[in-house]
Amino acid sequence: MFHAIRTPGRMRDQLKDMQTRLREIAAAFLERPDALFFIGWEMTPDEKETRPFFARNPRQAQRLVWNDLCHPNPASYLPRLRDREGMIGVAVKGCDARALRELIRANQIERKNLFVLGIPCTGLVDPNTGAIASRCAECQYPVDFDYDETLGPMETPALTVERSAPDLDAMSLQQRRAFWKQELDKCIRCDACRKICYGCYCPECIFEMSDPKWATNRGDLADKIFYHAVRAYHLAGRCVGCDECARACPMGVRLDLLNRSLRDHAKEMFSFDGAGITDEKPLLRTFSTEDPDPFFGGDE
Amino acid sequence: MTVIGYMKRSALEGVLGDISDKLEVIAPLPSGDKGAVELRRFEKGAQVSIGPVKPMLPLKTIFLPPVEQIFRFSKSENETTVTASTPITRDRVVFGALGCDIAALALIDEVFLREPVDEAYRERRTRTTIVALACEGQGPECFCASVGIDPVRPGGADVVMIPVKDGFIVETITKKGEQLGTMLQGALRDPTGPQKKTARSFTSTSRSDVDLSAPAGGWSAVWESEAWEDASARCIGCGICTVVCPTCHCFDVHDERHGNGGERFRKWDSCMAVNFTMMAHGENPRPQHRARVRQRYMHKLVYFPENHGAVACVGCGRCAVACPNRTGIGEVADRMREREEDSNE
Repeated sequence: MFHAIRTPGRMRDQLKDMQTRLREIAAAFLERPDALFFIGWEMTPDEKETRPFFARNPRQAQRLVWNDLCHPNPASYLPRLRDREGMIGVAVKGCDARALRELIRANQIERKNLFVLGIPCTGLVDPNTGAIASRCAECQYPVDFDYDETLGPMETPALTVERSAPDLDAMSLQQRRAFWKQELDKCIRCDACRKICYGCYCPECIFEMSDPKWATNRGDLADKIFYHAVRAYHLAGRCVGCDECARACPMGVRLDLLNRSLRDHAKEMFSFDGAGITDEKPLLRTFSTEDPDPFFGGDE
Repeated sequence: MTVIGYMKRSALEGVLGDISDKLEVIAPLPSGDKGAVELRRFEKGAQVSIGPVKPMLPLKTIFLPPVEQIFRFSKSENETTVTASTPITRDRVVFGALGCDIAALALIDEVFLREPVDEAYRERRTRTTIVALACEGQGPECFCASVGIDPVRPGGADVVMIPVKDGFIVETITKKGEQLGTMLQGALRDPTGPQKKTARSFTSTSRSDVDLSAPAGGWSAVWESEAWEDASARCIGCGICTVVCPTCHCFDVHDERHGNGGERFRKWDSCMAVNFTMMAHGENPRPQHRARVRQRYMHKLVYFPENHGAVACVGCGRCAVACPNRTGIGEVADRMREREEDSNE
């Protein structure tokens, strides 16, 4: 197994115990008459990764897993399920919980219809390299949420905070422009990043509209840049850094870096740090005359 | 099929360079920094990536490009000019095509070469020679042997290159292949006995146990099955399965105007997209996610066989590899047959 490379044996036993409790809790939830399903993870058929799993009865709850490969964000399924009548159980690790907080705050799902199980996460492993996933290496956020149950204290993961390469801030404007042109030109506009993103819950996306038609369909570099720039700006102050967009991208576009820059800029320019953590107003819904305005040369 | 000789691997780029003086050469070339491969135009000096990596985008891209201009138009005060676009300007050869992808072209032909014939597609098909690379299996996802495809000497190939030690045994299959064979002559030697023997016994590791057959009672029996609810639960509807599928061929036509001119082009479309069935009057006959998921599998496994006599799957396994949830067509077919309580695809 890939994850044996990083996670030491003692910790693996701990994960195993957590998985047992996860199954028990999910099974107990699914006994409730109003329970629809419990969203967690199961192993993929090749056993090398995990994928979301909708357990519908206590027996299916035994297929749920918790380990250091649980990358998918179960909360991202909730907006499309909001009209279902009944209770939905959902397992969330830290970044998922931040997404869930944002979804509830944005009225995309009602807290009262959810059974939320918090899982203390000690960092996930990249199944391709066996190393700790880059977003986890950078994760430094405490996760505050009114969980129904947890599998332990929901603390900040004690991970070394390190930034994965490349360092875009060290590049000149021209280098950065060249980097993004090359990176975004790989995009084939399949929209996997948009479809997997917890925050892309608009009932109608501007890229799906034909009247008025905001975006062209030609698919050349300008269109690709437009698509990614629009998506990125709509997610400024809302992206929780779950990196699901980068994982879903079949062409390996470094969308994680794009979102990381936006989070950095939100922090530097507007002192806004980390979506899903505070109850401050969402970044894009606030305005102050003190806001910096470097684009128009007002100040740097 | 005629063995025309042995070619050293190290001679390949040189041969392709020479041929590129006469024909447009398309070959699997490295893409990005993660060992990925892409079928695109070969230029002299490039290094070909022939071997156990499947291009993420299949061979269909060469015949049915993701975006394809149909005509341009411009308007002056009293005149409108329409200029038809040229599909290709030179004859072409594709090197290193895989059996799954070549078999898929025969399925797309069923749609595009029937009346009314799609002229752009036909021109690309008739002006392209296909050189197959006998495939030993490109990964654990491969199951072309399960859908009756010969990955070593695939039907539809003009020439086949069979890997042997340090090179290939080259076999010609069609007239077109023989013409290309004459261009390869300079790089060919007489094969040795052991080389011929290796080529004869070349086999593939493709899985032959993937079962795409209908559930008991036929597919119509599962039309309303709750199993589709399960099948669509974790699917995010991104449609990458349709992008990487060598047999998916749906497109949409767009007109875009820029100032006094513009263009009409067609672009790949996906049954997984909400807008795929959106009508001009604002009604969408397939608004539910589960209905879109069902459509994709029903088209592959039911409608296409009914209309054209073959399942629209060539066993490349790309859908399972590219899917963020690693769901492949074989797994879905299994679940629909079992319709077991535990299904959750």
